[in-house]
Parts: sequence; structure tokens; C-alpha cells
Amino acid sequence: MAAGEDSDEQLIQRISSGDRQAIRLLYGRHGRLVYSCAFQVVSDAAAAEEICQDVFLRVWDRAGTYRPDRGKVATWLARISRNRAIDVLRALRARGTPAAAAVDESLSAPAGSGADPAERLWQSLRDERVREAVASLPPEQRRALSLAFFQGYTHRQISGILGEPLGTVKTRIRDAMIKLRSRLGDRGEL
Amino acid sequence: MSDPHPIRELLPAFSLGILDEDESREVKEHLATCAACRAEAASFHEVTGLLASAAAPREPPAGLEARILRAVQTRASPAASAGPAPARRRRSPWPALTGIAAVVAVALGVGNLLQWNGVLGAAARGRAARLDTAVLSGTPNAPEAYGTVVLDPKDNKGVLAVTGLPALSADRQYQLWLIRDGERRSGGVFTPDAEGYGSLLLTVPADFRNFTSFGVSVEPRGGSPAPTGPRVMAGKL
Repeated sequence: MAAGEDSDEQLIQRISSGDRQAIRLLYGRHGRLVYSCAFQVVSDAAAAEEICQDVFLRVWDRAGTYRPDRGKVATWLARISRNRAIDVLRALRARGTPAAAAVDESLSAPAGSGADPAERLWQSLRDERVREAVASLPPEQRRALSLAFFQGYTHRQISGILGEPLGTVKTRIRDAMIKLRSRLGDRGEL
Repeated sequence: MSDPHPIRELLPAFSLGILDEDESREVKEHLATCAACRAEAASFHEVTGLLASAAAPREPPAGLEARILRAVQTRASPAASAGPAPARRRRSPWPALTGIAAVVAVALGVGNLLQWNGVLGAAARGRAARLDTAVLSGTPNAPEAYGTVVLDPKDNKGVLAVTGLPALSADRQYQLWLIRDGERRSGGVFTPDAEGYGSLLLTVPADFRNFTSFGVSVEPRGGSPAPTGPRVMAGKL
């Protein structure tokens, strides 16, 4: 961000008072991020495009609800995008569409199988600190977390997929998130 | 002594969006009154956000920016307050014929708002506006709720599609209200599906065509003659 440019928070403030140039600037800075987050979940360009548009329209409508003390704008946008994408994936899955089935199939390789696509997905993350933090998790935590994070499966569903007791799944996901929070927090990310 | 923060261990899963409806409702109720847990929830939201923002970069299609800016052009300015965003009238570029098609599309079960917008948008580029659209936003009773009503002014039939409304117990349903000068007429009742999407076909009564706004409230199953339960959504036509 060059000197004299508004910060992300200032752009959000401008957006909440109806400044259309500000939303254009925000898209310029974070449009690719929002699109990438969506694509990571739905693996479909058309769906990712719709989600990205939906996210920016939501930001336009609700910029007044953003609170800086809740985190940086980029991570806020990324989370909104991932959550919307999970909504879409779940809806597609409920309707049994081939797109959702393809995503599910590609990410739900049995544990211990030679090529673990979920592992590849973690390794494709572009931020080295986040990659390392995830790599530091025990494999069974990482596995449960990938089903939750990339595919939005509930505890019950993950328990069924992995063949693990419900309580075990809940603990693994919770422990994974606590560990990630501590690792990413220690490095000043949070 | 009972735990003052019984939902605390659910917060990581809450930030991942993978709790079931009961647990999610429990967490939201507790967060409404507990600043400490809100702060902890925020810390896990940040983790989810960091995981999401580490996604492998992918170039969006070239036309997307223009589409978003065009869509923003047709929307009024957002509210500056932290309250629910006010609804606004939006002239949609959908031809009159798809007014009926819109009703049919939802009746056929295109329950996902995003898919619905995609279905109608694809059919409709560049034609004259003939449908009225209103956006409904959640009140503090249902802050995640978001919905759209599309009305065909020619035959006064319309469709409501909503997302993000919490599940209700079996003895309750959501009820749509058409409002004019404080008078309220029922637009019908609906129950969201397991995904949280709800839709409703509505017919505007002949003597109520100049109504000005919408509301959604929680009512006993089957609905009430007048609103009795908490208001969860509101919007202006």
C-alpha cells in the first residue's frame, strides 16, 4: 500500500458510507483472494465467480458491521468467502450434483492411501507460516480438520467418513484449531 | 458448580461452521451475553480466516470486476450504522416473462439463493426491468438472515427466498408479513430446510397491492392472524 493510500479499514469505512470507488479499490486489492478462497472449496470457476460477486455485494451491504478489533479486513473477507463457498458446496451436495460429488471424491481418499489429496491441498497453501503451522499438526488432526475446513462436513459426518467416534473427532478438530491459534498467534498473526 | 461458559469447547467448530443447529443456536445465545467468549470466538474466526486466506492464488475471470461494480451501481448506499442493512428497491434487468419463470424456478426447488440468482441472471441479461425486488435483512434476533423477494407487479405474485434463518422447533414456523401503514397481512408461512434455506410463493391480496414493506416473524405452526413472535427479518419494497 503506497503512502497516501487508504488502509483497508478506511476503505471499509468509505464503503459503509456509499463510496463506490472504495469498493472498486477493495476488489482491486482483495478480489483475487476472495475468488481463490471460494475456488479452493468449490473447484468450479463459475460457482467461484458467483460466490465472489456475492461476497463483495455482501460487503457493500454490510460494511457497517465490520469491526477492526475482530481482525484484519483480508482475513474477514477470506472467511466470508470460504463460508459462502461451503454453503454452496453443501447445497450442491444436498442436491446430489456431480460438481459436489467430484469435490467430495477428490478430497475424501481413505486415510493412509498413497496419494492423499487433502495433504496436497494443505501443501498448496501459499503462506509458508500457515503451511508450517498445519504441517506441525498430528496427521489425524490434520485429516479431520481438512474435512471440516475444505468441505464443511459436520462432526457427525466426519465421524462417519473417518470411522472414528464422534467424541474423538470433536477433540481432534478442537485441538487442531487451538494448536493453530497458538502457532499463528505466537508469530504475531493474531 | 455449573460451567459459566459451557459452550467454550464448541467455539473452534463454531468458527468452522460445522456445528449442528442446536449447538450453533446454543453458542449464539451464549455469545450474545458473554464478552469473554465473544473474544475467544473472534480468535478462532481469525484462524479460520488465516487458513482461508492462504488459499492457492487463482486469477478471477476478467469480467468479474465489471459485473460487481455494475451490481453495486444498482444498489442504494449501505447504512453506516451497525444495525441491519436497510432494504432497498432494486430494478432487476429481468424480462417480464421470467417473472413467472422466477416463480416456477423456485417452486421447482432452486432453494439456494446463489443458484437462484444465477438461474435468473443468466436468463435475463440486458432486457427492460419488469420485476420488483426487495432485500430483506436479519434483525438482531437473526443477524445471519438474508433474503430476497421478487414480485411481478403485473400479476402480484412473488417469491421469497431466504438464507441463514435458524431452525425452529416443530411447533413453530416463520411467517411473512406484508405491511402498510402499520397494517399487517400474512404472506404465508415457511420452514427453512436443513441447509437453512427457505422459500415461499406469495400472492399479494388485491386490496393490499400498495403495501410498502415486509417482515418475517416466528409464529406457531400454521401462522397467526397477526404477528405475535419475535421479528427476525425486515425490508422495504
